[in-house]
Amino acid sequence: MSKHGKKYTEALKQVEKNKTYAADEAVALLKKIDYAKFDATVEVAYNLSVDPKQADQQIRGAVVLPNGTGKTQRVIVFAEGPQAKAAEEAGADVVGSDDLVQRIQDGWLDFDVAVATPPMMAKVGRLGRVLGPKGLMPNPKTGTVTMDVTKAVNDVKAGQVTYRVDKAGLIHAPIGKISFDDAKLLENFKAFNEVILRARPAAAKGNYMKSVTLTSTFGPGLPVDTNTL
Amino acid sequence: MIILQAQQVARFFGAEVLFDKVNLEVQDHARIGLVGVNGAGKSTLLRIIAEIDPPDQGQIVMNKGITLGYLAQNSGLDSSKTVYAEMLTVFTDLQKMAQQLKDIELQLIDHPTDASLLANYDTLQTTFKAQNGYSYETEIKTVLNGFQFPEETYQMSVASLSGGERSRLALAKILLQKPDILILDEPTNHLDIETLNWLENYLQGYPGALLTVSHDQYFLDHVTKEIYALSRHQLKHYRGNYTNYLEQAAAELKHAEKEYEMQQTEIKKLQTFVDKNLSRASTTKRAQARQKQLDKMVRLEKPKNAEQSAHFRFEITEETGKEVLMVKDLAVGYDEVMSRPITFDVRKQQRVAIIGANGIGKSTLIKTLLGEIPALAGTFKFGANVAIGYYDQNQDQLDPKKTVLDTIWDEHPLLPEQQIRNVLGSFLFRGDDVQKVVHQLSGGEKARLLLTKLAMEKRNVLIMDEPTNHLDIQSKEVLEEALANFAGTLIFVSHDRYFINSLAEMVVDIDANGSHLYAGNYDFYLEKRAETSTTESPKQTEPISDNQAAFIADKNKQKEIRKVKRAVESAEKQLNELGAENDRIQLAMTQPEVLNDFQKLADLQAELEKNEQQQEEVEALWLQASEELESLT
Repeated sequence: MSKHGKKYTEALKQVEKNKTYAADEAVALLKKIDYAKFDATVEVAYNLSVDPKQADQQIRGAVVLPNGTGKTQRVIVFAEGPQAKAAEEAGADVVGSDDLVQRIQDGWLDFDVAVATPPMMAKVGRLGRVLGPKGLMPNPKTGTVTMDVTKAVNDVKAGQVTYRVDKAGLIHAPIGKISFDDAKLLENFKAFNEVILRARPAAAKGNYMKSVTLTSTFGPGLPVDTNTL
Repeated sequence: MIILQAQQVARFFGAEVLFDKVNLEVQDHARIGLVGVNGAGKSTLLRIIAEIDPPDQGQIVMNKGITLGYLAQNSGLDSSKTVYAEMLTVFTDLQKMAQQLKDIELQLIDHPTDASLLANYDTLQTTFKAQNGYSYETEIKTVLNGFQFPEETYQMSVASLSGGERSRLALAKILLQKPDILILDEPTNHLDIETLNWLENYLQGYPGALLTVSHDQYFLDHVTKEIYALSRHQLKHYRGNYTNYLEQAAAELKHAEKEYEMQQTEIKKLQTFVDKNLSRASTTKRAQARQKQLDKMVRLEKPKNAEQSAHFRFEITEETGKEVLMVKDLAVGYDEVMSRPITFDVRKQQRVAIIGANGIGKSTLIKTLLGEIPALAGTFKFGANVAIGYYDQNQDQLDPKKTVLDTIWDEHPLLPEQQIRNVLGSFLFRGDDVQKVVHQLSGGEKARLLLTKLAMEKRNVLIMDEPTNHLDIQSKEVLEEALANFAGTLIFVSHDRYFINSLAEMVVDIDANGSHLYAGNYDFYLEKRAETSTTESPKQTEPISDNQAAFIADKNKQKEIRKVKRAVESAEKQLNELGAENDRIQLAMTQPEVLNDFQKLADLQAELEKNEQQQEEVEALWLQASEELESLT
């Protein structure tokens, strides 16, 4: 196994072993032990007792965090007519149709989220080979295939986070930056937690949330008791 | 986790046991090599594990939902599709899904707010992405590229490819299918060296389990982490790669021999005591006790050494002239030219390796030389007294309905059966083996039969196309030795790095721009190629450097030494024969019936004198050759 660095080891010393932290305690400690030279991202990881191989136990979707993620997302919108206008008004970075499809086919990929109106999907579908492997394909469940492009753009700009359970039953998502106030981070955490709780599939068995861990970029993970939120 | 188990599996051919009580386990992510001599039943076992043939006893247990991919040896794709279309068939489900996605996308134009349509689209898109739908085409390209199929070949029809290319394509296809258990029977046959390296790397990172039969030690060492050895009807398991297996097996044999010897000493000791003391009243009780001990003892079987491998030699009846083959500006191909210009000369007793990528026309060159297809341009000429023996990589020269014995006997009908059997015996066809029909034989056995045929023909120029395919490692070494001692000329095509290295005196590298000559073995070729690739591509004939000149001089000297040595040996043999003949004549002269018959005595005396004169001549030749040999060495 690779060896951890000095700073990480130093940070780890301040974490009590086998302790489950209360949410506010965890956020405070994260800030204390953060050593990144930039504004680190605070992330949460859920270990859920679901079987992602079953179609009815796949948890995925999008949530708008009340205090944003602290990161500006570049949004492009595939739309025509009134939707295109609405998207521009909502503040989309690039709006287009065939021209945008061509631009992406030519290799332009300087954006974080792609939104499309359903009628445009016939054209966007051709970009599957480019967008698919990068996870940028618009999808109805994450709210990126919609007629209401204004809402979609606003949501993304306001700090929308998409999440999905991976093969091992884990969900990872950012909930803000280390520079946020404790209260704002906790509020984001709470909002995200509620969404995950609501997404519990009926078929999930036993203890749904096996563990929840809070961490920051480069930092050690802190087990958290979500009941304290 | 164990995903497949073979339990107590047995296979019989009539009353003969091929293997019995065989147990084998495949863990997920296992890397298993199955080894054994030719005809031990490796391919048969693979077919049973792949559930193509049922076992005679025992069973194969597999986890639910496990997918299994099996690639038989010598199997090539047979299809009227193009290369790319054939690869696409692996992803039919994904293609269907892509079509469904497209259909929904079109429907969305008219019904942009239809919730159920959007939900369907979402589910389908997620599954499509999870199954790698967005990048399967990239994957096809990666694999095809690895198997040396550049983009311009994608639209070629599979049927138009060479045998080697079709095998590579079959392998590419099975790799794309990504079965949980990948079963490969001799995957390295027909692969050129570059592709082999690529395959080794690919298999190391393969996500599923791998079970492979191979006779390529290099490949086994790189790819496998455990070895199952099939030997004397039993299967034994060893951890580690092939080199580790050889060490462990040798240590085991040594240990068994020691145990056996110790037990034998103990038996002898006890037996002596019993023999001495059984009849004496005072000691008979003790002797009886020891006898009981002896009776109870579980006798160890004498450990057998490594299994037999074939042993043979290639002989010639008459020698060729000094020039054996002259090829000048030759262009080969069926309809269009595959490679030109090919120029090289082969001299008597030279061993020449022809190498090059799959499909470049090596086999075509050989077929052209054999006169099976016409040359498209240029000329080639064989020298005086050349009698060609040909070994075909496809084993097409065998009649599948004939028995082993008949295959050879029909070609030499005047020889007695015993002599045919003797020759077959030296190629490891013993007892009832000679009654086997050709189509029952394993790939390795067929190769041995072809070699038997070739050895019986006693030709002075051998042209061999991939002779090491199918042969197990021991047989390969024996073939190497037989060819190294061959007094004729050898021209061979091979992808086996070790084989080329130990035999070749000259390497003819063929690519689309024609031939390049390297006057040395495979290492020399690699060295020179590395040198030239940094400067410029080699021209028709390499300019000879000092190093190379020294190398050639050394090679020629070695050749001279071998030649003189053969002369010395032949003279010695002749002297022995003449000596024996003299003894016989002298003995005959002392017989009473000859002593009284003046005429007979005179005849014998004349014969004796003639013999002695011959002896003197041979002795002079022998002396000359010996002196020459001494000065050379």
